[in-house]
Amino acid sequence: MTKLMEGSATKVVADISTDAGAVDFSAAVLKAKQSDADAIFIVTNEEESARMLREFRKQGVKKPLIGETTLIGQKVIELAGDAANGALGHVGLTVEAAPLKAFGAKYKTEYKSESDHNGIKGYTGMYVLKAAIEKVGKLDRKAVAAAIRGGCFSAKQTPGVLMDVCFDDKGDLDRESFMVEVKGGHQVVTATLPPLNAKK
Amino acid sequence: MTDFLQLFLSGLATGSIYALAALGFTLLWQASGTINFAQGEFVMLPAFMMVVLLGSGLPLYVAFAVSIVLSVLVLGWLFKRGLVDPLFKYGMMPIVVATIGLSIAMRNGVRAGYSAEPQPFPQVFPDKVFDVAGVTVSAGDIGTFVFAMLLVVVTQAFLNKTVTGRAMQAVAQNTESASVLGINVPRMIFYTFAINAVLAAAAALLVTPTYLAKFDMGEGLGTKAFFAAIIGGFNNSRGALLGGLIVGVCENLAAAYISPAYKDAVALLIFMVVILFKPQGLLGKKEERKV
Repeated sequence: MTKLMEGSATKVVADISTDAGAVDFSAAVLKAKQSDADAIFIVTNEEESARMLREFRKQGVKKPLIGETTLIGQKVIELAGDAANGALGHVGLTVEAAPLKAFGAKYKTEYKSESDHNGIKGYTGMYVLKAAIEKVGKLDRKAVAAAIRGGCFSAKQTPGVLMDVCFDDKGDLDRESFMVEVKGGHQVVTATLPPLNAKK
Repeated sequence: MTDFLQLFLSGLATGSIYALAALGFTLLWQASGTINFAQGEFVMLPAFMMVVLLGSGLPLYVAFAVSIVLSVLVLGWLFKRGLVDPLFKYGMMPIVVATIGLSIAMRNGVRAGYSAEPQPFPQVFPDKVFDVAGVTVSAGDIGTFVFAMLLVVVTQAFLNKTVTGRAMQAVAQNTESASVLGINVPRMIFYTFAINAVLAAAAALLVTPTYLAKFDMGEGLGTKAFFAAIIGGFNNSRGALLGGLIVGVCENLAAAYISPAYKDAVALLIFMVVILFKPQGLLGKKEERKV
């Protein structure tokens, strides 16, 4: 990440590592405060993210806390409570996004809890596979994988994929994604980002 | 300097939680010769009791009160009657091994019976921050330290200034003489187990907002509390307090000024140094036995 930032307007003023499975982040948060950074980017697992958010709140840090899917994931919001409010992040999938709201509502009715990105991935992944199998016409692993690579699946033709998605020749997917902020214990979509290879 | 003070104060808060668990260690040892290696799980279980009670809609303070009662029953009475009493006549080692087994059973029991996932726990103290001469101190740290110290002071006052407390101390010092003097020794030992359960429940209330309720939350805590008890003096309650505070502060300073990777090693390092040069602990007394 530091390498990617080189040459950009963003300067990394501190790189603070923590121990895997750490429970007390008071020293790490103090170091982050000492760095006088304008914003703090957090990459830890779910439990650690929740503990870290609580520690930032406890030490009165008001700087923007930014992360990826994990930091502002539903499980972290549940664990961190009010301390998660104000956290910002980029997510590939969220039930708060317009195309996924209906899925989120059905999931909550069925399972009595909010789906995070994993629930959405599980659901859409199965429909991508189904569409690829139907395209190939048989249960051939190599043919189905080849049908996915380089292919696109639209939500109009395959409603189960929920959002239009394309795959490159390596199998990496490309679709719209979202910037979210946690407000009142929920993710609120603040911006929609186009797919990387969107036709302009 | 302000950063050092902030780390020191935050370390005192963490250390006061270790002190509560360490105090339980020393009380059990003094009263019954029991070393309870499930002490960390004795903090974990009340945390989950509170999680379940909070889930049923009870407010936190009621959940805490109910979990104290349940802890006294399960971690006090049931632990003593079910494990310690049957093994007592065989000496210390079977009890030690049994408590190690108990800790494994409790951890896996909660994991299988409730959940392997961490559970949310509400904050006990408000999210306020005070700036005192440039040093940032959170209400959480102050509240944790004050509450823990209050409990320690009340426990000490109970042991030193009440008839029951002094009877418990008499049993700890010499069981046979206490029995001859008409003190109900089994009841006094039970009271010690009950006090340990209350201290464990209090430690759970203070530590779970930070640690989150998880089946393995007691592992590290129990180990550090044991080291703290040894560092301070296993046969001295004030030593447990001192040991806990030393471990908490030194851990925090090590994480900030050396590396977070060495944080967990600090307690072990201090433990080894104390064992080498003052095996009875910083405030403990040498015990001699005629053979």
